[in-house]
Amino acid sequence: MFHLPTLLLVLIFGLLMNNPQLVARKRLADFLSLQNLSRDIRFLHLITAESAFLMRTFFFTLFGYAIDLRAVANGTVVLLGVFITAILLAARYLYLRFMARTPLFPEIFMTPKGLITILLFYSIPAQYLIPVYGSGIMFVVILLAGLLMAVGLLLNTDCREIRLEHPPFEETERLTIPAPVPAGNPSAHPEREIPERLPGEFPENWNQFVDRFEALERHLLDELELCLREVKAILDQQMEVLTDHASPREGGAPADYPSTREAAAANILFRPAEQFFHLQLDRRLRMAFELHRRSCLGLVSELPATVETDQLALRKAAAQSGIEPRGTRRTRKRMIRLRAMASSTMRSILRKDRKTEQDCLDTFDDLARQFVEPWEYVRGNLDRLRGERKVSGAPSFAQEAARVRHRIQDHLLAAASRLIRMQARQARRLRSVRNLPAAGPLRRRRLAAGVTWDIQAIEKERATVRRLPTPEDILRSEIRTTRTEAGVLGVLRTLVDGLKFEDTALRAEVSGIVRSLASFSPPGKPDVALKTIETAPPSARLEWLEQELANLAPGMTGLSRNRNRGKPGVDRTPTSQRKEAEQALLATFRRVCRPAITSTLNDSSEWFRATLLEIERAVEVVAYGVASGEDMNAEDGVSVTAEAVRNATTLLELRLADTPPWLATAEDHTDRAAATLFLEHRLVLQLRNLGFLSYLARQGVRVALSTSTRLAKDWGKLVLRSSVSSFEKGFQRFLVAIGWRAAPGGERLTVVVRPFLPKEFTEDLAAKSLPILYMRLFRPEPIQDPRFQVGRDAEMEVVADARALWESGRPVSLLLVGQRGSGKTSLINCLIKSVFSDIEIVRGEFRDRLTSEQSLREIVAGLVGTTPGTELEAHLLSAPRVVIIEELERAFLRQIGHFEAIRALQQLLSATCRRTLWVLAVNQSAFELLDASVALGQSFSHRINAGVADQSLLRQAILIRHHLSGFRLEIEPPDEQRGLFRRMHRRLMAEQDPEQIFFSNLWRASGGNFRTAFDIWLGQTGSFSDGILHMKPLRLPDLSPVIDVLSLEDIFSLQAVLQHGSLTVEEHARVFLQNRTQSLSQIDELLAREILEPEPTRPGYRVRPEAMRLVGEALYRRNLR
Amino acid sequence: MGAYTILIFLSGLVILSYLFDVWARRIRIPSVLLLLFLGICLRVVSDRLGYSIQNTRVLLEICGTLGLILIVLEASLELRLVPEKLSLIGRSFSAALLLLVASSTVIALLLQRALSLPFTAALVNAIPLAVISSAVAIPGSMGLAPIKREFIVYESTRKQNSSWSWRHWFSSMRPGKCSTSPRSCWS
Repeated sequence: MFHLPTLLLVLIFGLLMNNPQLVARKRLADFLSLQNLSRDIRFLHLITAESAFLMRTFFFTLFGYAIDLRAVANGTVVLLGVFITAILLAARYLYLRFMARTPLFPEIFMTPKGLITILLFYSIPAQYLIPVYGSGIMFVVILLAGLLMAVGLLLNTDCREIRLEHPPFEETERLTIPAPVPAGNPSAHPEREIPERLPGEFPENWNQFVDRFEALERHLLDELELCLREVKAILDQQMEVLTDHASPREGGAPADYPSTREAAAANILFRPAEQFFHLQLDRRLRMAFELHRRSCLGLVSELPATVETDQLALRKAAAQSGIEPRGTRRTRKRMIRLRAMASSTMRSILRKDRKTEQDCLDTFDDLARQFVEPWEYVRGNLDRLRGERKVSGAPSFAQEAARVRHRIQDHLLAAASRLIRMQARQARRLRSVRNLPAAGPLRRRRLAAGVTWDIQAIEKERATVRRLPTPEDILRSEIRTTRTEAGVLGVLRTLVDGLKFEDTALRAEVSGIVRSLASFSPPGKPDVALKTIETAPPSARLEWLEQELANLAPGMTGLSRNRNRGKPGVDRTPTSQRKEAEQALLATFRRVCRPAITSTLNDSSEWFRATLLEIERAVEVVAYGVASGEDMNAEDGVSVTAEAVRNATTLLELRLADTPPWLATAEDHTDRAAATLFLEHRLVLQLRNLGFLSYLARQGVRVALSTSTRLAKDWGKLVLRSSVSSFEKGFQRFLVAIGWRAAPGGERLTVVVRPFLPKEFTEDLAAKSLPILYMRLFRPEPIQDPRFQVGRDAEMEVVADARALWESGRPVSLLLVGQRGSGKTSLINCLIKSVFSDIEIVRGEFRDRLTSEQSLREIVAGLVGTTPGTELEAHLLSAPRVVIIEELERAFLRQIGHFEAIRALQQLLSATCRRTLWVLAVNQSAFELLDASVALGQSFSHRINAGVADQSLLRQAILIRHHLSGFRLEIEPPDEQRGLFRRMHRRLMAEQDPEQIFFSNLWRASGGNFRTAFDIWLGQTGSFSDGILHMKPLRLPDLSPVIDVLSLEDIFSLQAVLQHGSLTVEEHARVFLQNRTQSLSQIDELLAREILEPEPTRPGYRVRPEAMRLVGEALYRRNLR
Repeated sequence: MGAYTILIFLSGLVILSYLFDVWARRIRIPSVLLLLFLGICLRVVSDRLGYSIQNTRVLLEICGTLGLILIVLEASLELRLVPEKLSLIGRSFSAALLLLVASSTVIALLLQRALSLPFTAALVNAIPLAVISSAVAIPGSMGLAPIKREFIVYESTRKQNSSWSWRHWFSSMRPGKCSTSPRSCWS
């Protein structure tokens, strides 16, 4: 509770330490070394600042930690907090508005609450504390105030605010700005009134010294005044021009943007800048001060070293002139060391002058910085007007101009008041110097101490100002930028002029054609030749433009913060900044300017193209007229030609009368684009100084707001429109559904595709670039090489047993049953090479359809080399031999009376099987039929079902071939399978080897048929790279769509084809007892569905090997297998 | 937590605070506000981890009192008393006091109405809320121009208000106040 008085004490202590000159008067000053004190205070200040920083850090973090967010998140608390903040803002508003009369912004937001609030709050006695909400309200208020302050700081983007502190001067002082003081009349100005020359007790040379010193002082002041006057003259001139340029053109854009801008720049920027550079203000001021300094020291050196004075008289004289002499010397006569005294005083004065000089230079700098101001203002205004980016709510033109004027006036007044203060100081100083011999050494000491003190404080204050760029730099940079901008404008104008020139050329061309058409008289040919007129494409123009800009851009510079005052005329902008400014220009151009210019260019090129087309059309019209005129008789021909020419002329004249729409707006567009470019570019350059957030605050928020408003509007429209239309649609559908209204006519056009064989079965292997070796390994032919025979060991053994039986004289015959492609022929090949290698073999196959006994006997007799009569049996019984006949399914036709051949074969077989080992091969379906109809199975002692291969066999067969190819095998993992059941299956069966999955699918897809499996295998091969074969994952194709469209007749036909191996149209007709046309149409349809194909070597049609599984599946579904 | 952990934590805090100070100048958000949010985040994190600091209130008071003294000392070491200004201090001080009294009264009325408290209690609670804190204002105003900064420093310490020089400054800038055109007042 008692810390507030402590604070007061601390405050007083701090103030005293910082302002010792208030305390250290009189005697205390002798005991205190102010110089040392100031150094110590600096350290004290440093320590205090650092520890305050530490304490602040801990305190606020701890405070944030102590905030209980649950207590804050309460409606009452938040509401009260907001209200209290509002009250504080309102109070502050009233205070600032009516009592302090300072600008509201951003000071209105600077009402932070923090340390003191919290401390005070915690020191509230318990009985007064608000029961529940107390701390919550405090938190909310503190947070809100902090946020408001952040907002206020964010929005305060005026970075040019850093300037010199104004000396406070009254209104009356404004009017007493020094008038030119004629030399030699020191009393012309009341302020400058100095005491009359002291009586003769003063040494004469001292009086002279003082007079000359005064003259020097006055000279310096005059010089400064002159400088101020000259600067003011320039500024005044500028102001006058500003008034001209600021004359109200608010209504619309100025007539000719580039020239207006150029003129304004010349008047407001270039000329004053030229004059200012000519002035060499900085150098002149420095020289004046330097001259003054040297002359003063020179004066001192002319003084005599010592003089004897009448001290008492001096004191009296001094008292008369109103100076209270210090010191209490009682001696009357005294020798004083005049030169030493004067020298030390002079030195201290000059030392003080250093500060004055710096002040003065800074003031003038500050003044000179204002040269840019009017131009920036006028330029910004021009650009904004031109770019049509006038910010709503901005003060009007005249007000703005007045503000600029007042600001400059303000600076002028500041400079003037600086002079006034210098003048006053000089007068005081002069009095003290005049009285010097009467003053004691004490006075000297005080002066010296005061000086050091002031310099330190001043140096600190000025540090911020010196960091600013020098006015010359600012001006030069501004001039360069303005010149570059003028260049950009010029380039854009050149672009537009080029377009205009091309337009004029085209027009001249058109009018030339019109003239030549006008002078044409009917008999004969008009002389219209289409000249080729080259127009540059927009892209080329744009490229040229960017090139030009890139050439111009290096002139552009950012404002350097250079603290060196160097020689004028040397560009001290660092390269990096230069680059930055350059790139900023180009980037801004691309972002802002290019779309507008591109659209103009495109419009123009479109216009040119249209004009050229019109010319071409006119030429064509004339040519057609002439041609048709020649075809007719003379009279009609002439009139037709004349009409054509007239029409063409009208066409062209109409074209001439049109004014291109882009031409009128081209300049406007480019100017606006340029203005936008300049505005944006300046903003981008400022970005570095402003910081990103304030850039957003200044520019982005407005843009973001407008963009989001537009977007929201568009979206709203879109949503509304789509919802209305969907509602309408839904309503219509509802009406249709309840039968209120008939459905709108007609089905939509759809394409219904007949289902084809799945692509897994129909991969075109010829199109795949498989290695030749690989193709050879998997070729769809019966194998000759026993190496490839897999899993037939049981069959081989059976055959070997059968042969042993047969050789022992038993009647033995073999029947191989299996689907086509299941390896019957391969098995026979292998048998010939192994089991039957040492015995006479007769091998053959039924090629043609056999239906009579005679034909069969002929074929068999032909095979064994005898005649079909009874000699056949005799021959067959004559010697042991093996007769192998394949394609038994051709030995019958499924029709009454057409099974004779097969019956004859059965008879022959049973008659001769003791000496001849019959090995016959038949297709699975045929066997089923024949077994049922003629009991074929009973005619054979052994039947070998080649049947279907199981999965491992299939895999083995494929891998044997694959290994011989020398490729490494890589199978891609299958895709994620769809469907609940599949997924569950996968989940249950755990992760499987992709190869395993592949072969399992392959087996299922091929139905265990080797040839089909090989085909699919080859179809699934992916890429062969680096000795690796990538296999695509195999999915099980869905056969249902193809099967579903097969009619019953189709299925029966397919069954018949399968049973017979292959069928011709006639055979089909005979099987189904229908005429040939019907059969033909059925077979044609199956051909079209890619299920049948012509037998390659014989007449007739067979089931495609690829479709075997499909057909099997189809038959199975109809219970036909 | 051991001593080292605490020390490392505290020094990390100081470094972070320094970074905030640097950033505050660029992003123009008072560093104090950043610190406050850091504290809130720390609370959330420590609640999650199950740590908690006891007696935050005592710690806060110690830190706060020390900090207040140091901050006032720092500010007072920066102020330069010029004799001409002394006569004006009284006037600005009374104006600031009036503001304080007025706003705290209004807030007290609000609190009285809203929470049905006795007026004295409401007033006692309202005064802390009406005071401007120098601890936030002074570092926060670093991003402002020197003159505006000075204004805020004076105002928040409520000892020396430079509204006098301000009035001149802005009256010279305001067009309506300037009775003479620049040229007429020159010659």
